[in-house]
Amino acid sequence: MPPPDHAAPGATARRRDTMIAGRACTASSRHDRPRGSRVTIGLAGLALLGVLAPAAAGAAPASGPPLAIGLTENDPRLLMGDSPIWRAAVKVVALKPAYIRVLIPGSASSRAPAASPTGTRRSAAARSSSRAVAASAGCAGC
Amino acid sequence: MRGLLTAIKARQAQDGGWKILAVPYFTPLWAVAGPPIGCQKARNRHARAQMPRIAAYRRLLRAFNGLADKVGVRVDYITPWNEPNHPGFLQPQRARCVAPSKAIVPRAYARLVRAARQELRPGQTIVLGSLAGLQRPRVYGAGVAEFIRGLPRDVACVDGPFAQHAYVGVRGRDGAAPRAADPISAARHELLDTVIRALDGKGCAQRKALWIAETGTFDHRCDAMSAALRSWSVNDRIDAAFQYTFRNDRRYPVGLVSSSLRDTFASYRAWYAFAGSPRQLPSNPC
Repeated sequence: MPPPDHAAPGATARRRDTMIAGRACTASSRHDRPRGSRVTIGLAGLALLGVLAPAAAGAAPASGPPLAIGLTENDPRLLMGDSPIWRAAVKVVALKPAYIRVLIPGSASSRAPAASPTGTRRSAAARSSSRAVAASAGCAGC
Repeated sequence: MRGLLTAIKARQAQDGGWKILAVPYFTPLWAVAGPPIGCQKARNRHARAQMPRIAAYRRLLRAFNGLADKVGVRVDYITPWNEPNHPGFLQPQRARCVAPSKAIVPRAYARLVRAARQELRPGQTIVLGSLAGLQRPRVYGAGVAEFIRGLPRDVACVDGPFAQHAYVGVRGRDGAAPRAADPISAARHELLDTVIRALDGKGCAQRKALWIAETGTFDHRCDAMSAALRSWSVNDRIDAAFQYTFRNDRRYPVGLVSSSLRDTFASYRAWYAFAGSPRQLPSNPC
């Protein structure tokens, strides 16, 4: 679980505005990752990288229709700017996804659901479980 | 699930976009059709990977649509099943455990597609496939071309895009760090060309667009992910690419931020360059 954010509401809102404007920063990692996989990006960095204006001058024309992007993410807190993990949520929202892919996990219950096919609390575990099954099946690249 | 749909509804209202593609995966225990049959590896005979009863499957879809109605959010797309060519999600794939034997799973999947069509609401579109990236047939899994060839024409030619999963690079084995993905092969051209050829071979009236419904990079770097997105962007047959989970899942580590949410991986830059579907190919962000 991520650490809760204890910032004051006003400060939170102001900083959130800044983040929505394009900041995507990170602290240093305690985890081993492949060299080059970690990144710390500030506003100036994003501007230099051209990602604040994705269709900046000098970009090559695409021959086909634009690529729409989508996301699979079943944690609702990552979609809400006022959640305890809003810093991460801002990065999700900044991607401006055209689509969101919602996984409907099979409930572990032995009874059919009355109205809701699943429970939010189960979804993350079930999602992990699904990938674990896929991984155990030895499926490279799927 | 209610919380997620509520959050999506708010995002749709605020940002536009965020159209829902709903994907049932795993069979609820109450919906399992029967005990494992056919060719199934002993360790993978999960009840939840067994074919569901059609009536129960329809009930599951109806329940999801009902929940969306209660929340007041629109569901635009339905994929009938996740990775139906993968033994981890739908079994059995073959009647006999011999690689050249005919895959029986496309016929079972066709029943799910027809049932899903029965449950479609006005304006909802079926997104076929969501196939695992099995380039070639395996004893326990159907290859992508084999699966598509096995689909009845009325199912294969259903209106709507076709979804294919294509991950970048290979995960590290036995706790080892993954090797750096090769930007040249990142877009999985061979796999996607196989899928497109198989789809075109069905002779449908309309050419199917491809959605890369699951992707991500195991090495978390920018270069290969960017190369894949740029390649797909200029491919007239590919309309969309979906990052598989924003938050890294340690069991399937292709996320854009660490599990702790503290670190943003370089691969985020590759996706951010395509934020909002720019009309022109963005500059290389890496």
